[in-house]
Amino acid sequence: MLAHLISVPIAIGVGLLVLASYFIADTRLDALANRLVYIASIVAAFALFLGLANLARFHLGRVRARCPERPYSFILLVALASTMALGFVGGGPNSRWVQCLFDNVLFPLQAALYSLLAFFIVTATYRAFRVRNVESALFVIFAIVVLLGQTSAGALLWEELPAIKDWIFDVPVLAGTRGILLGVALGTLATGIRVLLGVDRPYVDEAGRDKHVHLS
Amino acid sequence: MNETQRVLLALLLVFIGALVVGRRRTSRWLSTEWRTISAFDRLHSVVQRAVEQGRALHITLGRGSLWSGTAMDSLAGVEVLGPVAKHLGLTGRMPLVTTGDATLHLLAEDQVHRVRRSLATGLWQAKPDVRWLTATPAAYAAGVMGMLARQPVEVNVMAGFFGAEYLLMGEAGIQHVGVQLGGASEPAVLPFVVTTSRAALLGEELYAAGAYLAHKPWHLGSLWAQDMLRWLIVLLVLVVVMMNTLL
Repeated sequence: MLAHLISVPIAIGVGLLVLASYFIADTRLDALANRLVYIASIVAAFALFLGLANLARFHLGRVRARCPERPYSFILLVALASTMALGFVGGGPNSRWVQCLFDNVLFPLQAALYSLLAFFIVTATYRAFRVRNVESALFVIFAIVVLLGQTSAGALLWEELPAIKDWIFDVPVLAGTRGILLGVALGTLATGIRVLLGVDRPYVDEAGRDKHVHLS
Repeated sequence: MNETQRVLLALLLVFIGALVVGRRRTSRWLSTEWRTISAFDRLHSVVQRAVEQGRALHITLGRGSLWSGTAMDSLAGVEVLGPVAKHLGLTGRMPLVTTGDATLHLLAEDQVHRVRRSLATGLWQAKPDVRWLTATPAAYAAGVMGMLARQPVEVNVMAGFFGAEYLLMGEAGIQHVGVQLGGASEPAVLPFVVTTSRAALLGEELYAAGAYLAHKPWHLGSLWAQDMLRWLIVLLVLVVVMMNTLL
C-alpha cells in the first residue's frame, strides 16, 4: 500500500511534467524534464543488468540440470563472458577488439539470418495467394497487377499497367495505410493518456483490480 | 506555443473529455454488441487447446522499450498477456513469455507474478517462465525461432512492437506450433502478421485488448473516445476538402 502511495503520484507527476515541458516554453521546466528523461535512461540501463542476470541464471540452470539443450546454453554463456571480458580489457564497447567481434561475428550472423527473409516472403506470398473468398481474390488480382507493373515485361504486355500500379499505390494503398496510421495514433494516444492519468498503472500491484477475465 | 502545439493540446483535451464521457457510458457499453475481433475471440479456445494438448502456450511481446516511442505497443502486448496468463493460470499452468527488451521483460515478469499471486493457493505450482532473449532484433528472432523448434509449444501468440523479424518468427511458428495468433501496429509488419497467423490484431485492434479481454471500464471508455475522435477527424477532412474544392 505504501509503495502504491509513493509510486502513483511520482509516475503521474513526472509524466505530466514532461508533457507540460512540450507545451510550455520555459527553460527551467525544459531542464527538469530533460533531467527526468535522463534518470529514466539510467533506470532502463539497470533493467538491462537485470535482464542479463535473468539470461545468465536461466542458461546456467540448463547447464547444471544437464538439459538436452545445454550445449547451446554453454556456447551462449561463453560468448557472453568473452564479449564482456573483451569490452572490459579492451577499453569499452568501441574498442578495436569488440568492434572486430561485432564486424566479423555478429553482423555476418545477422545478415545470414535476415537473408532468410527472402525465402520466407516467397512462402508467405504462396499462402496469401490461395483464393478462398472475394477478399483474397481481389488481393491476388491487385498483387498480380502490382508485380507485373513493377517489371518491364508488364509494360510490354499492356502499356497502362505501370500507371495502374502507380494508382494502386497512390490511392487505395495510401488511403488504407493512412487509415491504419490514424487508428494506431488514436490507440497510442488512448494508452498514453490512461497511463498518464494514472488510470492504467502497470507499475503497481493492485490486487483484485483486474480480477475478472472475459476471454470468451 | 506554436500552431502544432496548440492543435495537439486541443486534441489532447478533447480526447481526455471524450475519455471521461466514454467511461461514464461504460455500463451501457457492456450490453452493446461490439465489432467482432476474431483474434480476441480465438484466444479463449487456443488457451483451452494448449491445456488439452498438454503443451506450452508461448507469448512473445516484441522488442519495444518502455521508455521510447514503442512503449504503447509493448503496454498493449502486456494487456494481452495478463488475461491469457490468468485464464491459463486457472488450470494450474503459466505461459512461456519472451521479450526482446530488458525493460519490457521486467514488466512482463511482474505481470505474470501478479497473476500468479492472484490465483488460489492450489494453483501456484506453475512456475512462471519469463525470459529476456536479447537486445538485437535478429538475435531475438533467432532465440524465438530456436525455442519454437525445440520446445513443445502448441500455441504461439505474438503481440507488441516488431520489425521485419516478425516474419522469421512467424514462419518458424507455422512450421512448429499448432496455432499462431499475431498482432502489430506497424503498417510494414501487418502483411507478415496476416500471412502467418490464424487470426490477427491489426493496427488499432492491438490496443483494444484491455477492453475486449478484461472489460476494463476505462479501456471501454477509451474505445468510445477513439471512435468519437475518428468521426471528428473524418468530418474535419470532409469540411477541408469541400472548402478547398468550392472556395
